[in-house]
Amino acid sequence: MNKVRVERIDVQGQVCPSTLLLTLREVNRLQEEIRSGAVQIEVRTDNRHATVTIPGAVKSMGMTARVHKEENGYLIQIGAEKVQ
Amino acid sequence: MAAGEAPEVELARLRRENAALRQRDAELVDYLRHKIDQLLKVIGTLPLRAEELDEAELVAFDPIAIIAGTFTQILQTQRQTNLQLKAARDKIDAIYNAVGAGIVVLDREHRILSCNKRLKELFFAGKRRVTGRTCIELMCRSESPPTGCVFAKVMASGLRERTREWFFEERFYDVVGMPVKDRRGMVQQVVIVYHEVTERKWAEHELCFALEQAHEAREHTEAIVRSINEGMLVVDASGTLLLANPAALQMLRLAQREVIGRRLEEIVPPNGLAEHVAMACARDEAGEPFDLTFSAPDAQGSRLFQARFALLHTSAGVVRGAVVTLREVTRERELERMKSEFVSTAAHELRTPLTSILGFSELLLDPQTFTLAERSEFVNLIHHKAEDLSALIDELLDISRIEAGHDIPLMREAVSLESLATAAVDFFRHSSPPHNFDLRLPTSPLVVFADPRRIAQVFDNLLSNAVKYSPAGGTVTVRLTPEGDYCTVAVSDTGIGMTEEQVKCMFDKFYRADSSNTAVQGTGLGMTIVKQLIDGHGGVVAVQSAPQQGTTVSFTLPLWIGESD
Repeated sequence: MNKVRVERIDVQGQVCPSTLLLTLREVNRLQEEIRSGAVQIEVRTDNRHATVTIPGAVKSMGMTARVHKEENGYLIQIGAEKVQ
Repeated sequence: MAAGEAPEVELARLRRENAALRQRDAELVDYLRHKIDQLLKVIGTLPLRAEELDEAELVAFDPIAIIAGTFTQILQTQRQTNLQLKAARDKIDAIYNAVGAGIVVLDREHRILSCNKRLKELFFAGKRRVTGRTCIELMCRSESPPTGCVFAKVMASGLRERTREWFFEERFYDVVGMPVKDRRGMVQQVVIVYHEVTERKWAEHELCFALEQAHEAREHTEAIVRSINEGMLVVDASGTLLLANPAALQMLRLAQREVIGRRLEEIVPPNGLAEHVAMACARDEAGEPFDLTFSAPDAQGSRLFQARFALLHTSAGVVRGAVVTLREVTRERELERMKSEFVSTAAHELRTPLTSILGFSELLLDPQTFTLAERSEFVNLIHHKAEDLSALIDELLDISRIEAGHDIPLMREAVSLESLATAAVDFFRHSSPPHNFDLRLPTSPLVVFADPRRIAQVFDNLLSNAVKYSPAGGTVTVRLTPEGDYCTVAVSDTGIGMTEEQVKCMFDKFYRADSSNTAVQGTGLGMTIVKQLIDGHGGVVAVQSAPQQGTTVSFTLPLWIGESD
């Protein structure tokens, strides 16, 4: 099984829409690799609004997003949509 | 421009130009931020604040390109989703129309939202427009829902409902209804599926009818089998008993539970029947049944059966068993034996006097001179033997009348019973000197209304038997006893007597108690005729006997009451 490469984005200290725009810029750049399952993006943010806007936008783009609560904020994992 | 004024003017101009450019730049940045904010609003996020990205970073960051790239992916995803949805819808439509059941979707007001091809075939054939019209208008055509309406049941319960064998327009359906609810749980639509089960229903009905008929036929057959007098056994190809009718069970003296499921050789005596059945099945001797006679010994002695076979075959022609019918022929065989014996005896009895007649008549024809006395004696002997022959033939004629169901004709008159008894006893005293005869008469006269010739015949038969079966020197007693309106005549001897079995058969035609003793003459018809004659006079014959203890045969006759019939 191919190992998935993780791209990390730290937008802690920033607020929406900057967190969203920064995430979308990386998602656009790596869209092919994300869709193929080679790459996953992990976004660290302390902005709660971002936990709504980022997953919302990513899902509309046909990808998946999972939000995990962490001690100092949130971790949003973005990856390819699983084929059913 | 003056030399001293040019730099200040140029500077002022440049300042003004710069201000305008700054203004223009600010307006462009504002425009840019405004558009970026519009796009951010579209993707559902907050507007961009100035402190988040300054003008230089705004251009370098290029949010519009980011959002444009995002929109491109969103649109691409939408297109793919639409294609998938279309494919799914096409698939559902194909299933919807290919499924064998009729499917209809109704809204809360019974309006048809959609239906498949099968439903149109079932209920809406010939109707051009269906969607938008109500099921009440197109199907039920009644004010209230029909009994078992699934739509009504689903709307009432909010749950999946079913109606089995719903009858509509001469056909049967299994109907299932499913609710489609909104977010508040209210039923907005009902999906109803109709499975036509008419053929299944009629098949079930026909099966029930066929089962009833099969049951009736089986009962009919069993009644026939139970009612026939012959014993019937049905075995399978391995010789296991499958059926035995009551007649067979009675013959075998076994109960139903003792025989069914057991092998034939365990049930019937070792008489070869089981082996014959096995051989018949193995050889498949189909077509003509064959007879087999065997004995079935029991406590009362041997019984003879005639067994007939009929083989049973499967539809493929393989032997699957046999039907054995058992007919008891014990009595039949006995009668055949007695008839055969009678013919032999009768021929002998007829031959004996005929021989004397022929012999003496031949002597009379001889030219040799005989004295008159001798010739007269020969004629007397011929006459006597002719009388014997005549009596024998009379007996045969009497029997033929009895066989034909006619009574022996009686010429009745008032006659003295003592005189008849005395004449009979005197004859035997004379003709049978070795025996003693004791005649006991009552003190008062006994007159009966009877045919004297026939009563003499009765006396002759009884005394003849008493003499035949008594040793020389034995005593034969004839006793007449009046008893009320009747008189009882008893003829007793001290002879060999008879067994119970012999007593039972002594009035049967052709029966001879000692058939092996050819020295004792007789056709076996005498007692049959005696009984018929006494019955004809309104009397009764009775017998008491025991081996080596003699025999007493008695008969009653009604006394003459002074009037003739």
